[in-house]
Amino acid sequence: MATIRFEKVVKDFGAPEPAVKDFSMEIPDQEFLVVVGPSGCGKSTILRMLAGLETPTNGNILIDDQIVNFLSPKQRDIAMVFQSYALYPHKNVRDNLSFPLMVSKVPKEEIRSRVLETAEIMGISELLDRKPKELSGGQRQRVALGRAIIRKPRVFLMDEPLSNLDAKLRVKMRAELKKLQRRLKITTLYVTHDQVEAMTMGDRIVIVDNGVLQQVGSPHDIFYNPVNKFVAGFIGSPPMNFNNVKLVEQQGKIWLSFFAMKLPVPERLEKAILSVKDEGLIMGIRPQSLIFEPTELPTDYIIPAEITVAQPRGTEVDTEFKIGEAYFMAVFPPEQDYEPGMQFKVGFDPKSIYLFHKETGKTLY
Amino acid sequence: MNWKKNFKNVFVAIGISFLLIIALFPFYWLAFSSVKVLTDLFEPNVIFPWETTLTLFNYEFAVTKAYPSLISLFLNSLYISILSVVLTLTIATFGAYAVARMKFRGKALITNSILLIYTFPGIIMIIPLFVLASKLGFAGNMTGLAIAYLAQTVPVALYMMAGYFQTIPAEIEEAALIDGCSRFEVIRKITLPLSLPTIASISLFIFMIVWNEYLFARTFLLTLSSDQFTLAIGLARKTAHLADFGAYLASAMILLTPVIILYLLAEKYMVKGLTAGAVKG
Ligand SMILES: Nc1ncnc2c1ncn2[C@@H]1O[C@H](COP(=O)(O)OP(=O)(O)O)[C@@H](O)[C@H]1O
Ligand SMILES: [Mg+2]
Repeated sequence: MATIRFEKVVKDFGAPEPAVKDFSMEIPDQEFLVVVGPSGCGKSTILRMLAGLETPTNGNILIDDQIVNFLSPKQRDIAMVFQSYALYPHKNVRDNLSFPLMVSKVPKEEIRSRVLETAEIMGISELLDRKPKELSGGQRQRVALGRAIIRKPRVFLMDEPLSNLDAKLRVKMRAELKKLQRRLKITTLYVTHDQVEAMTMGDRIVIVDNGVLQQVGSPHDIFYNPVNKFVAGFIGSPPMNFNNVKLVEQQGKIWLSFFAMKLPVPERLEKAILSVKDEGLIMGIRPQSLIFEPTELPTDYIIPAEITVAQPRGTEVDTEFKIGEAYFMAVFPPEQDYEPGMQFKVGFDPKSIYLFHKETGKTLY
Repeated sequence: MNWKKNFKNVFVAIGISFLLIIALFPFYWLAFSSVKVLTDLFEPNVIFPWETTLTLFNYEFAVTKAYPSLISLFLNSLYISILSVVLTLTIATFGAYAVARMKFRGKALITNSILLIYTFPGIIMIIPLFVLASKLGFAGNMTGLAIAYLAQTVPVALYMMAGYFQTIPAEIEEAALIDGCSRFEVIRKITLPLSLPTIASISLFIFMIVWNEYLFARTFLLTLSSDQFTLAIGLARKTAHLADFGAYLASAMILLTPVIILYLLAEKYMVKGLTAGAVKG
């Protein structure tokens, strides 16, 4: 049971740029928060500062309204799962699980029963007498999780806990972890570089780039209302298509023009573009919002195109096509054969066209 | 291509056997000669144990007649060696941990100095150390000698230990910190148990240095009576007369034995891969 607050937290390792810059956010009790961003953006550093393994250079970290900046990990009552699992190699599974309880001098009898209970929850009851080196990756993962939950800590921290598992097991563990957190109701910070993992697991997601918090929100919110080009491009698979566009006025309307093509500015953005001078804009559209041979779109949003590559994925076909010199990635339905060289009409769904400032990357609303 | 590989293996085997024979033959000759009857001692044709009568006479003679203080010399050596190992390990463990894991001002300077001292031959240090020890009043006894040995043993031990600590993934220690350990508890409950193989080999190494050491012992124990010496200097002081040669060989065997026993004991712990399975899959 804990709320967590970061207040303008800075971590400077002495590199030209701080690893974490003015990071502020609040995590309510029992939330499953996912911190996501590219490798090296400062995710682990944020987690480690909360764990007490690093001290913030500036700002405050609060757990339940108490500043914990200078408390040792021991005094914070948190548990952490590392990417490498970090099991104690000289101890068997039973002793790995009981270690945190032994250290805090829990009575022997209680340790015994809690080890059995935890092993039961994690499905590792048969492995108690094995050493870590005698376990598979998935089993080590479970032991590491078990060692974290056995203490019933105030906060769970997980740093890319699934990234060493194979794809199938990873998908299974995502669901299991989420269920486990629901059941234990413990505030959780989960770090990953995998946006799919973030979208499927998080109650809310924080997107970090270059040590700076970009956006916090529900997966839905982040997907449909990205605040800038970075977030728009980072979330979603395949990634959003971006094109430099110019604004041109023709036939009493304002158009987005790129190469020899033009699309009308979507109605909802007409006001916003009034403030745009000629710094240029970037148009973004998700592969899922490009429509093969559309029937219901205004004709201005339909453009002839040519297929260049098609990669069937079972339920969908990832298709690359070009309009003049501009290449796009689209996700098309599987009922059709998409041969390279094939001519077709593609529709740009105006509801899903995003515009970003070229300089700042900020989304136009 | 298989015959090529076999051919290579045969060559390797021959090479290794050759080196082994060169390395082990003197030891065999020593061990064998120490149990020969005196009359066969200088007989070059007696090469195998079944060509002579085996006897422990040389040992008996060594302990009772040739070197009456052999037992106390032996115990002295054992004492100084064990004391040195314990002192060295205690100091080196903490030093190595600091070097391997902590950040502090002047760390690079300290680390490099340790390496530098490591390269000093003992003979450069002996005079300043002896003068220092005399001034501080601990020259001329075993404990003083043990302290002086630290100047030679701590840098090596610290260097080896720090090198090993750096191979232990930091995340294992961080996991223990988060599980509620203090730094000292982490060292005691996680780092040291994981370092047993290295501790075993360092101990053996230090033990061997001190057990066989001559120069420091000779200098520091000069003023003592001869039964207070270490085995190495005690044995060397007595010139081997031809008649005592059997006893001399037997004493040499006695000198070697603890090192061999220790090696056999430590070997068990020196198996690698104690950290296997800690991280990744
Ligand atoms: N102990 C450290 N000393 C110096 N630089 C560090 C340290 N830890 C992390 N960094 C730097 O801080 C940045 C963020 O690292 P990290 O938080 O590990 O990123 P992520 O987990 O998002 O991949 C990186 O540039 C990394 O090199
Ligand atoms: Mg990381």
